[in-house]
Amino acid sequence: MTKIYLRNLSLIVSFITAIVCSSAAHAGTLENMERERAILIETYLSFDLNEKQRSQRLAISKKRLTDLERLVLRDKSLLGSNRGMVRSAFNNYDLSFLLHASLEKNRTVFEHWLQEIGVSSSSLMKARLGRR
Amino acid sequence: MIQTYTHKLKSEHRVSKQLTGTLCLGLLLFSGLSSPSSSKTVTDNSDWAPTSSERLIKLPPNYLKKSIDRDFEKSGLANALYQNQDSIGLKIETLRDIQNSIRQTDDAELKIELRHQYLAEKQAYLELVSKDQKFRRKRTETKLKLYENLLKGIHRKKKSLTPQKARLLEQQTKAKKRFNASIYEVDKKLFQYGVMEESKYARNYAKNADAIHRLIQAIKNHPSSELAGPHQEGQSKSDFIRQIMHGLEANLAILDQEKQILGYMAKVVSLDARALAESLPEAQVVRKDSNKPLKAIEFFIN
Repeated sequence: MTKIYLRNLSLIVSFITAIVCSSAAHAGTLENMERERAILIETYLSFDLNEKQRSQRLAISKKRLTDLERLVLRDKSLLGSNRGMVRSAFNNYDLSFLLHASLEKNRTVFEHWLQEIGVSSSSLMKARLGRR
Repeated sequence: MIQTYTHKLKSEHRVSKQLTGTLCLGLLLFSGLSSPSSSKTVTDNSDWAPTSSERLIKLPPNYLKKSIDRDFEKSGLANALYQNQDSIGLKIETLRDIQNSIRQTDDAELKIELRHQYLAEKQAYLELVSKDQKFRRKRTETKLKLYENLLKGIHRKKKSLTPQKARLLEQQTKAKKRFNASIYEVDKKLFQYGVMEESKYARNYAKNADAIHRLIQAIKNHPSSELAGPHQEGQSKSDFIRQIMHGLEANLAILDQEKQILGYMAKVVSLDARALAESLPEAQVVRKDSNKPLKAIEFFIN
């Protein structure tokens, strides 16, 4: 009797968890993409990782970001949304959909990102080391 | 003999009285038709009050028209209209029968009786047609009002798009176009050397997208598809509604003309009634003033 009760209870709990999780995931495709993009850039910039670790993390991150960018671009709930986050995301395709834009322009993701934020090889060469 | 004569006189008097009644009713009907405030006779259950809901605005043009027509068919007004139209059909049959009887009969008295009956039936027919026109006008005016409200709703929806929102929608459309244009190349670069595996989401999405594409094709090729309807391709919903409204306004103009025809028909009936009344011999025998004192003088002389 107690066994059956426990099994039912676990089923109910898992069902509620599934509903909560699915609604949360659906609510924030854009937020998830932004988070993943931040992680990707952080991985590129991190000094704490060796090359192997960096490439492993980048592979995972890129795979996730591919799906997340597509999810955002196909998300109908974002159409005409009045949120500032949505407006700024679609204001600059090249920066928001970093992975797709970089592949489209035959660049690496990091190179593309640097270009988009205005850091080029020549500007780096011209830069001088100083104290702020 | 005297009894037969009396009966005849009484009968003539009755016919004359009925004819006067017909004449008056004919004139009343004629005057009633020309005044717009003659809608008091319409029963309360003959009503149709559709509302322009958000659901209607969202419907594709052809379904919109069908939905409104279907709503009308369920209404009390449609019931009253169709019942009245059935009555008109029956009344026409009656009129035809009486007309044939008048042609065939040789009995003068019966002929007068039938002519009177014919006029009364004509009058009843005109009343039914007047009612029919009232119902049809109500249907057309209600539809026209509904389509006007729908058109206003569509314009309101368009106007509610702020410049900021319009810009965002434009950017989103551009982004989607760019994405769709580059997705093949992107996929090729991502997966061609097996560097990256296709995700579960990508695989499922591709399967579902294929199914959706096939379903869309099936919908397009379906004979009941909206494209197969009277709605022309490339015509916007507002254009379609305006086209329907134009048709309804034309219907109203035709109804005005039909009302005029009905008025003339009523006038003809009243003139026929007057002609019939005048063709009859005097119903009331004018008594001669015979009570003169001279006639009784003999009673007083002796």
